[in-house]
Amino acid sequence: MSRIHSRFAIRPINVVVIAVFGVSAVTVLIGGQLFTGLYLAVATVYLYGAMLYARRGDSSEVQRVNALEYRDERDRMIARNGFSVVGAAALALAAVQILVASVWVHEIVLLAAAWLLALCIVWGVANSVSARRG
Amino acid sequence: MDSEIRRLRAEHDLSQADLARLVGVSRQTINAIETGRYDPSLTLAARLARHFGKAIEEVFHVQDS
Repeated sequence: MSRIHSRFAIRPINVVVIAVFGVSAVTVLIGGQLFTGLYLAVATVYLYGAMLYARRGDSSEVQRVNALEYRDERDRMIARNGFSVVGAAALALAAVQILVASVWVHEIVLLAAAWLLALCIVWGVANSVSARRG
Repeated sequence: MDSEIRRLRAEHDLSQADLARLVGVSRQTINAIETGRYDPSLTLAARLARHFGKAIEEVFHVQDS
């Protein structure tokens, strides 16, 4: 873990993010989609730059949290709060999606319901794990 | 939660960045503690108190609700 960290100067999770974007860019370019490939390549470089910048001493906490480069307990707390809001929003949006799909697009109702169920399960598990860890 | 961090830091002639580096957190975290926007974990509170040679209750003041 620390070997990966020192080689790439970013957290292992960000190494995965960069690898996914980079591989996607190359795959799309090989597939002949020049615009999408270049878009993904630029996004890869931008993300890597943002991650490296977030590791600098003068970066703000928001820059670090947005780049998943947490420096201390407060960064992690901010990230937790952010993701909890994302989770709550995802639940609300899923409920809205079911209502909208029920009225206009009947084919995706089952998919939306499954999405809501999955999010509820994730939420329950996350709450349980969080409570256990204190 | 109030704290004596700002006063102690000034007495020891440390900048927020200096103290942050010494206890292993970001400068923004020290600032947030000093301005009362963030209550540190017990571990960080103990680390800060230990750095100044004080007990936790001498550095951090918890109001009774």
